[in-house]
Amino acid sequence: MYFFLITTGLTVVMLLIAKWVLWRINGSRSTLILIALSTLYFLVVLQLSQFILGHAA
Amino acid sequence: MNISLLFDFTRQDFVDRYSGSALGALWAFIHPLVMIFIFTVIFANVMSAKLPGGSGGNYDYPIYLVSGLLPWIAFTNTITRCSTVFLEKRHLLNKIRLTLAYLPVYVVISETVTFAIAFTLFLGFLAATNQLPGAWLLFVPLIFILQQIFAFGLGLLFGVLNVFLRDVKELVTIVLTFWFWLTPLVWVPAVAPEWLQQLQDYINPANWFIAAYRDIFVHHHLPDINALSRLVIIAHAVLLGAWFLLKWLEKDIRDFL
Repeated sequence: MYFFLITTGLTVVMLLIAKWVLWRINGSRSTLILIALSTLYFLVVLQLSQFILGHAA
Repeated sequence: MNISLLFDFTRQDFVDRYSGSALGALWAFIHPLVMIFIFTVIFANVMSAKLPGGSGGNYDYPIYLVSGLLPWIAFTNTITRCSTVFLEKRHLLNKIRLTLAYLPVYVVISETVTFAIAFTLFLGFLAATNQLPGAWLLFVPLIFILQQIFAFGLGLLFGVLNVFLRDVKELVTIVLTFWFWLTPLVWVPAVAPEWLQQLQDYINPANWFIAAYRDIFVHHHLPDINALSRLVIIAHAVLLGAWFLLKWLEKDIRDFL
């Protein structure tokens, strides 16, 4: 339960940051930031899932 | 690129795909339904195929097959269609100033919708046979987004190369056929030689996400997080590489088109 609340929160935060990046930063830099942000987001969610769900199982 | 324009492209893609057919968008439901039906009838009822390491149930092998093939079809369709997108849309690119890197995104959305339809039918089949994996299902969108980022990166890379060398499209089809048979989609890793099993773990990114789906649908447990983390890195690295290549060649691409 906590896991899904945390990941939903993380997803909302990431989407808000992505929206802000697209609104504020134009051109090549916005794509680079979005790719970096996406990498970080997935790694964090996966490590969280291993930590919380792995222990719960 | 405007997001509403991407959705317009996606809608148009569906209209083009089924225009002129009597059943229209129903075909998007019929294809996966037929696939699930055939695999179930042939492997569960006719051949009574058993999955090594499975629970011994009648539907283990059909579930193993469909849970691997549905994502694979979305993955390969995305790659092959992205690799030709610049040439197919050249009439638009010559008229309107579109951001090249974002153009293939409509293919990704379109294939995602197609996958979602097929996947919903598959879930219906799992529910009917009492094989639903429970809460692990929530992992599927995460794995699917990762596989599509990877497919988008590869498609973009091949799309750029295809503008300059039209043979790339044919090469992609051949490479994907080899990749299909080298990945445990219809065969089971347990029957493969040791070296081939190790190769899957170390150098086959497709196996990392296919195995994750199988962990959820066949074995009903948490996917291998280390393999998925490797997929995150590879998928984003490929996307980054494709994006740099596109930026580097953007002017030439527009000239060639």
